[in-house]
Amino acid sequence: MPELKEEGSSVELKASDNRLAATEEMPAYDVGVAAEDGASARTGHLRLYMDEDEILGLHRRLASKLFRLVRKRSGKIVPFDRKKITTAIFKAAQEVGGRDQETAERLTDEVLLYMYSETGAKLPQVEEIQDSIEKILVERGHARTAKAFILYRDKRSRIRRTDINTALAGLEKQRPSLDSTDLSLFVRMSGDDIIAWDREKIVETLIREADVPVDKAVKISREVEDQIALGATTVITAPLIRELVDAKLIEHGLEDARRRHTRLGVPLYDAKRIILEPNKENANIPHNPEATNMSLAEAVKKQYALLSVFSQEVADGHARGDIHLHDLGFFDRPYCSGQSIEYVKKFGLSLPNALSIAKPAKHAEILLAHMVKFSAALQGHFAGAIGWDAVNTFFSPFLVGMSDRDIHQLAEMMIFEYSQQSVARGGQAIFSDINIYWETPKHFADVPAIGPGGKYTGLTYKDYEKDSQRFAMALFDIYKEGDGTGRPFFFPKPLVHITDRFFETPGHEDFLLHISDVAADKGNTYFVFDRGDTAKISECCRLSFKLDASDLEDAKEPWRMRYSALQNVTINLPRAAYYANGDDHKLFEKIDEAFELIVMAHEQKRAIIEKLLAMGAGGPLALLTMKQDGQEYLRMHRVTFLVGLLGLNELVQSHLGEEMHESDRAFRLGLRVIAHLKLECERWTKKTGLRLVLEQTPAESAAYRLAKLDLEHFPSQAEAVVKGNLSLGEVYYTNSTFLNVSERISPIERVKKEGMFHDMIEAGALCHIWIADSHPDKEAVASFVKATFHHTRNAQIAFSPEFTTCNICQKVTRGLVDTCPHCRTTQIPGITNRTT
Amino acid sequence: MKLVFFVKQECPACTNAKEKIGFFLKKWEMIDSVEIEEIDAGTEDGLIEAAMQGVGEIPTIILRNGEEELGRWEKKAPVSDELMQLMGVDA
Repeated sequence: MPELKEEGSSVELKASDNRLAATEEMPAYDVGVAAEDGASARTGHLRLYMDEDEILGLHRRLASKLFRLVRKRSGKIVPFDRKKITTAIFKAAQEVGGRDQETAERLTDEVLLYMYSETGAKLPQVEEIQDSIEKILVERGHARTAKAFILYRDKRSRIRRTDINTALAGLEKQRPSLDSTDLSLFVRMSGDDIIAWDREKIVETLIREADVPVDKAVKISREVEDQIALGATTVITAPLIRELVDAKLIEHGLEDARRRHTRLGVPLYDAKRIILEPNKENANIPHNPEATNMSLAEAVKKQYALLSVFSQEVADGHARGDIHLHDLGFFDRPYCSGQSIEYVKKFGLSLPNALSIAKPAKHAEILLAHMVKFSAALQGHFAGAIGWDAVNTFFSPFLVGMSDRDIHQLAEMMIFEYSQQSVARGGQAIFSDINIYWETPKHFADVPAIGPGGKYTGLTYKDYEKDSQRFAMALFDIYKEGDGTGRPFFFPKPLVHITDRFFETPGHEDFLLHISDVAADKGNTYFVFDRGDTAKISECCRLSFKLDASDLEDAKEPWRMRYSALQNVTINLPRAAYYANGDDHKLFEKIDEAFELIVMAHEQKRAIIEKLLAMGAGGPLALLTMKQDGQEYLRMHRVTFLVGLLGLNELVQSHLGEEMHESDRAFRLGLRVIAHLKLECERWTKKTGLRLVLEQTPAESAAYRLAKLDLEHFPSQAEAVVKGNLSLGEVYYTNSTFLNVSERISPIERVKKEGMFHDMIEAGALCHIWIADSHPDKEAVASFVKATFHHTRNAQIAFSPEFTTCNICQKVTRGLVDTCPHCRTTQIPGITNRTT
Repeated sequence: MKLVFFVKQECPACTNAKEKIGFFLKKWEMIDSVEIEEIDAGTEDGLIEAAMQGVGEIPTIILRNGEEELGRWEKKAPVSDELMQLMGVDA
């Protein structure tokens, strides 16, 4: 065994058997292998059988197999790499003049064997490893090296612990050398960390994240290092390194790797704008920290969706503007949904990961509280509306014996709770719809009613019709009153179903007048027409789920009636006309090409949602996988996939030179396009199993975005047809299958003609009747509603008045005015114009 | 007089309705005096025609005398007595 000698300018290693007789130059610290210390007891008996090299070799083999993983300070577990210990020891030795790499290797073996003897195979922590290095260096007589190591460790620790900027100031003096191996550079990481430059990290990252071959990864890391070394910085950020690496990946022709290696985020400028300025793109989003959190997260998730959820072909189709993928920032949740209060009545409020569980409600107010809280939870899992079916019908068993005053109070609570809850999606109100029936819906009439405590009452829902009607009336009393300043409520949107049985049910005349009064005055009422045997759950202004035979079977246990549209992808119809340039055949060919992209997008959305659902209770969609009635809350076998429509009028106008309202030929082309798309839905449904249905696209942002893109890509054609103000850049395409909204077309003609499209638009259609500052009387509105039901195929209508809310005195005036008639303010900024 | 049938392939109710009306037209010896038009609502042209005529259900049968619509039956065939009366067939 070699003798251990204290520090000196050189050390002689003397082996008793002369096999290690060679002298090693060790100017600053000497060599220590297992010798005259505690370890010798373990190695002593080996002396009889092994020479020194053999012992060292055994150490190396043993030590190399002891640890597989290590826990970093951040808590992250990463593969164990003995090289890091060797490097740390060697660098410390270099600080005091050492040059012997092999000694550092042997000391590494010592450290590992010591750690194993102390803690066994337990997952080592970085700090434990550093403690062990110190101990071994000291015990093996490498005091100066130990000191250098301790100083370095302390310096790193201070940099981590204390003011990073102060620490960095000291480092500013150190300029990076052109010799990359000596690069004195610190990297500010994405987290709260700053670390020394380590080129190996680029190599590791490229291999781990982007599957880049090792040799290529090493080459790129060197090139990036050289590039950084040429600069004069001492601190660089991890995102910048990533961008430099990405640039190199492009240079090396590794585009696919670059995609996988891309960093998501927003420019500082954008982040500042999001944080400091109100959201101009969505008037529903307030301006507060929660909302800016959402906007920033949404921006990142959008990028993720386009890079990692949707294929390049689909993402390019969206970016190009052939199609529009809705709610990209919410790709990891379904689009919108229809719910049943029966679920809450029967199972109470028992949600995954909730801090407390509530049993089924015993009182109407508690039921309402459960419903609102469940809505808030659901809003976190759906991008769009949360619709509730037959609200007054299902509340009715709880209303028995309540006075009209108490029911009025309950109605008030319901509407205020929904309109004032700023809890969802960045502090927005819950996007909520309540479906209301005057009569007991045919499919619920004989269903056993669930009452307080989740128990059957022994009666059926038709037995509670009077209470249900009292509640419906009360809800519209509240809508008529408006909020504290008389403004109309935005949520929950009341969707009144007009059916054949509606007109046969006593009291319907008064109710129709009441809801017509609200429509004329406040614009809240949506009239949903369910003709014949049609039954629907409506939501999201126009989206509806038509109930088929199996749904009506589910109606016997109404809590099962939960529906969702998984995604909406809109087709940019005018774009097809621009491509076709007047050629009929090409027009439909281009529509089909876009449709194929839409189908691909839906398949990819289905795949990501299925993946998230498969994670079950531990996944992000745990709520949608709960199985309180034996099946998952989100019934994937029932979901639909929406094909949104945009700009039919401009397609026709571009292709024929006439708008749809201008000639029979133009109108028929519009019908042909929608008929074609409906048949495409049916064809692809058979082919893919996706239940594809047409929907009128609700998002105004898509109408703007696609019009803007077309003005860039097809300027001459788009300029001829886009609506709005070109000079101000406030442009849009006419929504879905609407006739030109700015044309003076009589309401009767509009409802009739637009209604001709509605039977083909299975997922829901709506016709807006713009009443602006006029105030038709309730009898006229009621009469119009009746005529629309009986003499057209229109699926749904709503009346849209205009209001001006004064931001100074908060009072509301019908119509758009420049001067508040109440406080006489004339300052335009003090006036907010709103329409419903 | 004209009978317009809005039907679809693979629609058993459509086939039943056509057979039923065909049976009575033969019985009333009107098979040659009534024009029959069958519109396939599973085609683009059929869907356009359905939209223009306010047809939203299959089968739909419309009885016309010139421009005047005498009767319309949705999702069902007409009762023979009703049809007979509208067509002016003597009992």
